Amino acid sequence: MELLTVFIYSIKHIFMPGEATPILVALGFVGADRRVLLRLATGLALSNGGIMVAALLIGLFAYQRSSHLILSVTPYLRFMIVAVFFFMALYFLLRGLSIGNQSAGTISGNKLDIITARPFITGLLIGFIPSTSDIGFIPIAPMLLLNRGINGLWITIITVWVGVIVSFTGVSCIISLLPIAYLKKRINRLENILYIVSSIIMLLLAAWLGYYIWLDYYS
Amino acid sequence: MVGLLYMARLLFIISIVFCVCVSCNDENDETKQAWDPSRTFMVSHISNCHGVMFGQEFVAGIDVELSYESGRVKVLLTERILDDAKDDLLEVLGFEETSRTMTRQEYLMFLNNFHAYLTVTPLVRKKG
Repeated sequence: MELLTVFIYSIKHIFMPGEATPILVALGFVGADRRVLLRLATGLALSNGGIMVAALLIGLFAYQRSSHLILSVTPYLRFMIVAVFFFMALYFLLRGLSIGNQSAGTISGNKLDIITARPFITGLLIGFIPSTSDIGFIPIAPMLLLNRGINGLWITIITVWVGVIVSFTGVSCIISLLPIAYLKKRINRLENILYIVSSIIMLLLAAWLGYYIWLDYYS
Repeated sequence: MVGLLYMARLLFIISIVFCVCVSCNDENDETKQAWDPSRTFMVSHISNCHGVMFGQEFVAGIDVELSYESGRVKVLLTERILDDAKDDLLEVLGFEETSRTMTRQEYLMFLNNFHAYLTVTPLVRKKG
């Protein structure tokens, strides 16, 4: 029963601000196909689990030596996802503006297609940005291990990881059901508009998240 | 296409202006409040998602009591959460007793630790 609750919590957490889920949703919204979304989701899920395990291992073997460093770099680690959202906003804007110009040969769409061309690698890289709970695992790892035992700890972590994999792939499957490709054929300039709207949403998300992180650490 | 380009630029500029206005709003506000440990990003997440209640003064239903004076945050884990959480809560979080005073940065790290703990140890409420 406890593991089921842990599993449900891990699903809820991918919708937490600061997780990479908006990127997945935005790419689906602009019409990336299911294979691209699933590759991105797999990359995200794998590296999310990897960073969680890495956090536990750092906590177990190197926390005493790195505690001051972790304390001081935490705000910067949290700003990394803001930077990714900002970069995505620019990417969507450039894509939105370039699509109509491709025939005129001004900007090649493929040259800008750095995310959908390598979705798995993109997912892996973004997923390696530690979330607040990953950072939080580092100091508590030794006492968790002592109290729960190695088996108890790994079973819980694997449950969280499975929850993350299920939710990222689930989100990509649901998003890919949107009839974006059909609507693009029916509505002129829809693709440009979707990219620009996604760009603005990503920018607002980056600003909102960055503002709250700034309030926490520097206000 | 030219119209669309202008519209995109305009929307982008409007959203940047909006973001700047939102972030500057507090600076100009005469009633600007001091930093409040119970209004941080992680506190709202832990309250909304994990059901742990934070408050600045002890009232029934509070799990973590906070007070902030001269740059230091005093965190008191109340009986309520100690009853409902697993026995290892204090030990895992590095508390020797139910309260601990810490700097702001340590407090924000405590919230991350507490959140990680709650992720792998869901809170089971014994009384409703």
